Amino acid sequence: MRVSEVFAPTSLIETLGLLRKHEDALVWAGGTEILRLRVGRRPELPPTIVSLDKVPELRAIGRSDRALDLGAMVSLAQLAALGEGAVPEALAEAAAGVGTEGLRNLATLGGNLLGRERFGDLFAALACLDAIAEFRGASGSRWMAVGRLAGRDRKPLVPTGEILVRVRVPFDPWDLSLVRKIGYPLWPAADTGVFTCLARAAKGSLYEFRAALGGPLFLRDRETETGLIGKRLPLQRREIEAARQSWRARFEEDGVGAPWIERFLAAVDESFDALRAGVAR
Amino acid sequence: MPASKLADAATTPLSELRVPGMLHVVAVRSPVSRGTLRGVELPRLGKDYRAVLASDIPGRNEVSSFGVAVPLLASDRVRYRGEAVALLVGPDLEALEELRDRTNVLVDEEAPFLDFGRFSSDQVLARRTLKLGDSELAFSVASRIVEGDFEVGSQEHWYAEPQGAFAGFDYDKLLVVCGTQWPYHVRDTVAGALGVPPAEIIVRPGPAGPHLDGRIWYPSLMAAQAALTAWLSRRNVRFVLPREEDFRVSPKRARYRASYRAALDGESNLSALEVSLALNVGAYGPLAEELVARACLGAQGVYACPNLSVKGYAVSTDTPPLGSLAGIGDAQSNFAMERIAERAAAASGADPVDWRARNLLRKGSATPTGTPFGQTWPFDALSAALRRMSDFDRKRASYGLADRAGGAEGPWRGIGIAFARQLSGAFVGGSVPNSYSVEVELDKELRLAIRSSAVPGSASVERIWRESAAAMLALDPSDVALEPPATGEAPNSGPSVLSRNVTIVASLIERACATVKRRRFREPLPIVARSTARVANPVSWTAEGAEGAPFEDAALGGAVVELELDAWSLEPRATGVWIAVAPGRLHDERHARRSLENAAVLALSQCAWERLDPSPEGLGVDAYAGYRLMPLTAVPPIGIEFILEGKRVQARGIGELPFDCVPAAFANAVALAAGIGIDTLPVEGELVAERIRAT
Amino acid sequence: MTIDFILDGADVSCRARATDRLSDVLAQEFPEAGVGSDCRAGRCGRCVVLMDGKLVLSCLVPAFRVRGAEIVSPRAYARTEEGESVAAGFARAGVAACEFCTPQRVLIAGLLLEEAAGASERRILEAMQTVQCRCVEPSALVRGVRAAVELRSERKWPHAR
Repeated sequence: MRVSEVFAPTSLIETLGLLRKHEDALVWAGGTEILRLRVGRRPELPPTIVSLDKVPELRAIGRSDRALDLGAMVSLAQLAALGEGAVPEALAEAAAGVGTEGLRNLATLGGNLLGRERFGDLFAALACLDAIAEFRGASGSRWMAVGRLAGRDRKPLVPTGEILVRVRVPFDPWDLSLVRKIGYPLWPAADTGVFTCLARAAKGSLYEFRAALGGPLFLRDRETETGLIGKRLPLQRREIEAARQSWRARFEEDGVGAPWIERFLAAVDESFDALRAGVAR
Repeated sequence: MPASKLADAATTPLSELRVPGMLHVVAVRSPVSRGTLRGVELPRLGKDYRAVLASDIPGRNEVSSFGVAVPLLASDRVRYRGEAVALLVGPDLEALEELRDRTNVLVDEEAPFLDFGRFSSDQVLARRTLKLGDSELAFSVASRIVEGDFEVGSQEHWYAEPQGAFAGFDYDKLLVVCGTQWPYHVRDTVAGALGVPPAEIIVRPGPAGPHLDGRIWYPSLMAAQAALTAWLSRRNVRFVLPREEDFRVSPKRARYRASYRAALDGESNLSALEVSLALNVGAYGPLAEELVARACLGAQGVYACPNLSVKGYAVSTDTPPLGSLAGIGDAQSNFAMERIAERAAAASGADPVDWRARNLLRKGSATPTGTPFGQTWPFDALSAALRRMSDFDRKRASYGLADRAGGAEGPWRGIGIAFARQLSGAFVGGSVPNSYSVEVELDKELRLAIRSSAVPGSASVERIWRESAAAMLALDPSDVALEPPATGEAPNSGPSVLSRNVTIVASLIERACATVKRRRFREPLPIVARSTARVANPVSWTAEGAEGAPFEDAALGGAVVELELDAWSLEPRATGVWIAVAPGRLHDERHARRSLENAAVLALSQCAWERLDPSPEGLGVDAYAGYRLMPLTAVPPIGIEFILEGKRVQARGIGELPFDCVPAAFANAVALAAGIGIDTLPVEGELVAERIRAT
Repeated sequence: MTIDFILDGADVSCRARATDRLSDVLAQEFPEAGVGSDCRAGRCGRCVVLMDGKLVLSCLVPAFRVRGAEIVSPRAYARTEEGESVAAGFARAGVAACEFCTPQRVLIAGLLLEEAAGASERRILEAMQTVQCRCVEPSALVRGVRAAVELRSERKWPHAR
């Protein structure tokens, strides 16, 4: 059986150097998805592994008035436990709902954000919150909106040759912050995902509305959301119906299957109901 | 080294059992579902490694259960993907796994039979027929006919520990340790495989956790495989399946299909039933006879039916053997009949409980064997308890279509009721002698030892046995010991099937103690007494039907399930479960309550969460990774009430009742909530949602 | 590679491949710790341990992450004062879980006791979901944890009314 060589760099620079040298290296954050999906005593793994757990820059948590900075190696349990007011509610709720406690203490923000086969449970919340992610590579550092980590085909688009360093999550006030697990709650599968809806009202009108679902695909349509902005609250039946039809049409155009469209629309209905009920949280 | 140091084998999980110098075993398995085995190409094995093939077996290459022989190792034909064709034994488990990966199994593959929807007579392993009266005539004059086609899928036991066995040398005997419901079967199978007298083999049942009837015969196969490798290598051996391999190859619940036609007379009472049912028992089908017998006997549920025509088939397919899970075929039939009962009540505009009450099996009515029913079930008290606990009548009137028509806000709600009976614990297939024995010994220090090869299965059952024996002989329970069940020391008590322990074995212990009590002051100590039970009126089968009284001492139970459809996904979620049972004599109410509650949770998990999809490729990694047990947070409150009937000598088995009636009550509740008929278990939430959206 | 770590309070060392699962290492090299390596998919919970004070599924921890870590097995936890207190609470509530999952459940219950303001029923069940075993009904687990909380309070404040 082939045995992998494991590197455990202690700085970002060292990490980047290793990744340049070993292009096919497996980057090991929490590793929970890596080992969960390789059932058996002798998991087949690439020959080179770069472990991130000793890189201090990746564990930092920082806060300003406007945003929360979370290192890529912050565990989901840490994230969920940051406390009310210290982290946007949608993000805390999404993190607290991942798997079981024994998993959340191992799984990381970065690992959850950068799944190759599917979108992690935090993706929809981070995208709706307008979170941005800092990547560092050979040519330096860059920031990109989390939403851009989904390709046009609605599948994960994970940058290569770069390390996710941290995610910056803005603190914005939301009147509605809804997170909904779809399907079996304890582990991900082809029919599971997490939906997030955020909304804000101002002067009796809908000022902001974002709805996204992350699972095997990423479902979000900004145009439909924009179409709702400015409408008087409560939204009229025909306005909701028009929005539903718009989402349906856009997703169908992109080849999204009916089950996922229905799941998205069902969750969006819940969001509209919550808005109508004036539920702030 | 003698394995007698394994005195604590009864309490050590097999995966933790360690004996210095112990060897490990892996199985080489067929990669295809059907074909002729041409050979096994082994890689070069190191000095301490050896392979065991069918040709190496000194005795009989079989585990024989209920009259059916299943090979320990395939010799010329393979009958399912994953069937063992060879064993590799050696000191290092990883090395063994690598050797196995380099082993080629050469099979001339044939097209497998995987579907039991259409089957030829070649595939029928067992068939049973029940006939009463003249169903043809009854149908010809029926006022109404109610029909349905039903399907119950397969599930996995998910035991606490995967299947496995330890075999080692204890001076001049071979000691076998495994988690089994039937130690004597293990002994006889191992002895047969080695070609030695049974007295040479000692079996100690190890802890197995809740077995859900998944450890009736398969542990004997594993034990024999372990014993073979120990015997041939002259070393102690431990053979434990990794969980994902156990998932793939060990027996699961038999799949079920049935077509029902029910005739209602002018008063909308059940006048006839025609049922054709089939059970997919996989390859070999060791429990085929018992499964089809129980499914046929259970076809009419708790109802009287003067004209009955039931045809049942146990169908073999080229998949791992399928069999029992918390019961052996009764739950599947009861699901179908309770859905028919619901439809019959609806078709005749009757209250669902009243219709059931009118049609209930009463004292004197003919049971499916023609024997008159000898009991009076406390149906009125039991159904009243269910109605009261759950507020059934009010909710039923306001849920479902009434809910929606009234413009009610919030999720659609449903409530459903179902009833079931649990037979006494004797086997009814006709191929197993129903004879059980227990021995007790009161020694000079006035300590009592109970010897039985029955496996208590839980600390509570063990406590019940000891306390009832103590009470009979005016001893302190601490002076009563249950000797670790081991063949060679304890008399045969038959397989410890769900609930049987509380009924048959408990009463045997009491009878033996009664004998000791009578002799106590007339004879010197120690006094040994043995009690043997033979089932009165056992069931026997002919081509035309069955004889016997299997319903004697059957326990009645019922369940109500309340649920709501998720407001947005429309998937059904249980919000309350109520169970009522008539247990006869209750040894320990707390234990009974807990067993029923746990069984209700498992039954809910089965009907709404757990599914094993049939696949030509067998159960792969996806099926394993995707198998879902009900999350604890989804469990609703569960209420339980016992309907006591005054002093009875006999306790009734009740542990299976939730499995028999909760799924049917759940399906009835979904039907009310969604306005659509549910005839398949498990109930697929998304399918319900799709069908609602389509209407 | 050689991994040095602390297991149940003792310095230990063993050889393992870098990507071996911690659960397999413990089951193979330190069987007396009683840690199971069962589903190897992070589901059944037989493999839970405390790693640097946090509950983790050891089948999802590679050996290369274990160097220098402090691992506490459920069996060792059960022998601590807290563990015994929890076990006594379970016994008081009549919780009859099987031998395969009781040590893990005692450990999880013990961690819950630390949570301020007591754990809600939902929180208890969410935590207990880490272990998948069919032996015991969920309401018993809730009663067991509540009894453990009560017992702990009695032991801490024996004269309180």
